[in-house]
Amino acid sequence: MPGYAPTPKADEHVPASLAALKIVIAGGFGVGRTTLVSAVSEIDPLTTEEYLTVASAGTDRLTGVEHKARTTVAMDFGRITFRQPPMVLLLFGVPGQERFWFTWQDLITGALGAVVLVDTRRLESCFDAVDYFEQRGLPFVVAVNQFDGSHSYTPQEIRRALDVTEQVPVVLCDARERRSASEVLITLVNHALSRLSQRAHP
Amino acid sequence: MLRAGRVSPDEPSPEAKQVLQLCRAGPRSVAEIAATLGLPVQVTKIILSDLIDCGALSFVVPTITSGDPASDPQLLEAVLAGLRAYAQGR
Repeated sequence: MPGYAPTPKADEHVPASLAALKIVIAGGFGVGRTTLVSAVSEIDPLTTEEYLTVASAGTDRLTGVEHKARTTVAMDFGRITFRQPPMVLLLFGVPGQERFWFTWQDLITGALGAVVLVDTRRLESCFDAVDYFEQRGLPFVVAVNQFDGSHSYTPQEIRRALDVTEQVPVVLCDARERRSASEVLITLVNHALSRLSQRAHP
Repeated sequence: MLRAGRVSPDEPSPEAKQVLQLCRAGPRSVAEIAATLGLPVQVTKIILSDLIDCGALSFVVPTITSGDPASDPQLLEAVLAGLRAYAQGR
């Protein structure tokens, strides 16, 4: 392009290669996906939110979230940077319903794994996401976000209700707490590791 | 991921200035740049490609393009260690 100086040499501060890893956080409507991403992200999460329209009221079930004025129809984006070794963990929160699957394909390519966030009041809203990750063989964990006023179930009960295998971790969490939310991610990475060692030594 | 180079464009647009400011703080992903600018990803990509052409931005090749991270135990161990330290609070 005219008027521009020649291409510079690489900046020595930043390594030429940087490990950037993705974790996908899928959850149905009003399950606390944005909350979880903001709890673990080092930056304020970037979210495209739009008002829930009257048109979607018949499609999205509102039980337990009748007073929720806004819902995320796009994506939440968060980031955690590790200094040593230099790595960036990118968190993508995506809507769980099947009609949003077309937005997932690019995201799960090269993803380390996924978290399916669950609200026990509307368990069926996460069936789609569980099916999706099972079919594609991506390591995933089920994280049950515990809301005040929701009946508390044991992880075993939830596992049976969702019909996921014993290998898939089911954990309870508080999506608002950084420590609790980080534990969910730790469980996911542990699960991905143990799947690898099972494959290596069946 | 994109990072800032040493060259500054002669007459950067306000959006281009914003991108450069963001990338000077550290390498940023296209998704994050687009979300920060509040622009669609496709529009952001055009701004980025102009900046790459003139050398004001360059790619940092992320290792996700070179393989499947879910099958790299060393990488997963490194993430696990990083997350554990992060969960303890810095």
